[in-house]
Amino acid sequence: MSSIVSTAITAVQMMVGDDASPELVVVSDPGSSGARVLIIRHPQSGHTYAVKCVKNGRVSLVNEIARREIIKPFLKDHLPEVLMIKQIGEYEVMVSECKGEQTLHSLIINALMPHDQLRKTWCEVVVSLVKTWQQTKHYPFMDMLYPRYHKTRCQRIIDGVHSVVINGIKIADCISMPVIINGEEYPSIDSLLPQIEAVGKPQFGVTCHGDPQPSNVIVDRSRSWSLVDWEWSGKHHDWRTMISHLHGWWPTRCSILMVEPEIRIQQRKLNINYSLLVPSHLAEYQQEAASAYREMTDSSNDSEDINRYLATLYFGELRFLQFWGRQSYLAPFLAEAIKAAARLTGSSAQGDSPFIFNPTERR
Amino acid sequence: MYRQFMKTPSIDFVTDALPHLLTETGIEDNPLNFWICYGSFALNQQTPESDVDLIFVHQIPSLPMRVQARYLDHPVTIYSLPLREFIADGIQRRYGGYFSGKLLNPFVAFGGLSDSVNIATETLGGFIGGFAATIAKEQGREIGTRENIVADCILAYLRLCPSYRAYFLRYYISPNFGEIWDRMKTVIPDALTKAQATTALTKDRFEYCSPFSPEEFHTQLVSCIARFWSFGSCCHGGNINFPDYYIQKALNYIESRGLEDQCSEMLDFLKQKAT
Repeated sequence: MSSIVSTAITAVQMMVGDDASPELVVVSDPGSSGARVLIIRHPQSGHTYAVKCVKNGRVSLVNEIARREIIKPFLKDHLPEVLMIKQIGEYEVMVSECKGEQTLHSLIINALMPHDQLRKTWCEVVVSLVKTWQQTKHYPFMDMLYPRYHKTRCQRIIDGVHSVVINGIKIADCISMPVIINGEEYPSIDSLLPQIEAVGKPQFGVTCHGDPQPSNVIVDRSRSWSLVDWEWSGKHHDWRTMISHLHGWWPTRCSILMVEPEIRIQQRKLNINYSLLVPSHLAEYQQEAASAYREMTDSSNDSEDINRYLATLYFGELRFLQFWGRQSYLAPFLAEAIKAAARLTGSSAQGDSPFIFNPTERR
Repeated sequence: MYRQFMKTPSIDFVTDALPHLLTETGIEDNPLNFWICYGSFALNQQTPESDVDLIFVHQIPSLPMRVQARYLDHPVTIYSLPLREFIADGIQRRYGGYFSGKLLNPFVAFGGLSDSVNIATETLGGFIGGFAATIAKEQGREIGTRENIVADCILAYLRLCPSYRAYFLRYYISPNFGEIWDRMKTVIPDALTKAQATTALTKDRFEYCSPFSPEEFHTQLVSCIARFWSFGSCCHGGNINFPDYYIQKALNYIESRGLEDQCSEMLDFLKQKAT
């Protein structure tokens, strides 16, 4: 960590070009790419800068900046300016203007602003995304140019599921066993994983930020918002993946564990018992995803594919929980992923759950 | 040109990608258009996360542009430019060799007419020929073997872009460097001859036609460096720090892998081959 902090401080010193000692304000949690963002304040001017540091990044920051250019015409007022890019030691470093020190995620989780204001901000973000999608419908959707190419993404996720270990139980060892979740039997994980790959094509592709989650929305004191982390930005997005993120982010990042989950193998079955609470006021944020959906389509096939993407998302999250200090959520999220995938096969109840997307019931 | 190094799955991958990537350039299909693939894919050294590096030469009058895309989860960088501008980056060095200099690396051409490869190599020869001749002249040579010519060209390019050492080093330390060097000994001297930067005296002996005077060398060097980095900065979001970033990133490749000794050895190798 100290090498990242000193790198970020060095970057700001190089950019500002004086001898003042910049101060560290805050360090972000690592993203899925391992990048860290540090907010650094210049003591004399009081200006703050966002410094993104990447070591052996999946996508070079130069490419990320090029991706920002793709969405710039549509989200111009909501993208911080890039001020500098440098290689400092092992790190690729990008300094950009800091439009605020809080993400929408932290404001919501810590209740730092009134709920109605935060809800309004989220609504504005989603409306801007939908507007961009409507303006950029590309016919036809070209899956090979899709920035989050589904087949490769699924393979990474399936590999990730195989490598997960929960309370000493290697998932790879029990991947073919039936799963008992809170007393109800579900098919084995390996029989369900093909479900996440079987997504259909949307009618058109769209330009999108690519990872529109509240952790990537910066909000300032006047409630102005901006989008950061442009790694996945580009044309040829499947808007339904984006809806799945707008919906699925809330239960995956904001749910509360009620009791210590249990996971064990018993009589050649994987048993998971848990209790998760998704605070009810978060349902209002999820409703924005349903509203966006209704702006984009009236096809029920799209809703089914969104649930396929949601199952993908939940299985995918298992790889990252440790980065966010949420290891104890491994068993519940594996269970929710299994339930979401099983629902696609008809081997699970169709009941309402914050983990499932159902725009008609929530309307 | 270097197709022998690019295995069939990589050739198929790029061939399949090009029709899709064409849509990203906004340029209409035309049988005269051609693509040049360089970088890790051209040498079959790609990893699942490697960039696909392409130059797309088309027929529509426009300015060169950099297009960032993805294909099957691989980041793709395309430099899209009209044939006229591509050729102008040869003998006129309009972009400081930003495109033609990339052809010093192993590359494979796709599409276009049968002489697309000739256009590409002539552009390379036109760009680097005068510089290589001057490097040879510094060694007291006006005539060179194939090996001399390749070394002259690489050393000349290192004057323009010292951080290129990190890229050539990748070839130098690869297990098949001998084969790559042998192929360069065919491609690069022939490129200079096509561009009339050299005259072939025999199959293995070439006479440089027009070395720069010391003043010309300095002027051309400075112009090329300025044009190269100004275009690079322009097509990287107008970022004034782009040169620093690019140079430091290249050098970091050497430092982070502890390749300093191999790098010195490589430079000695080139100097020795140029004498």
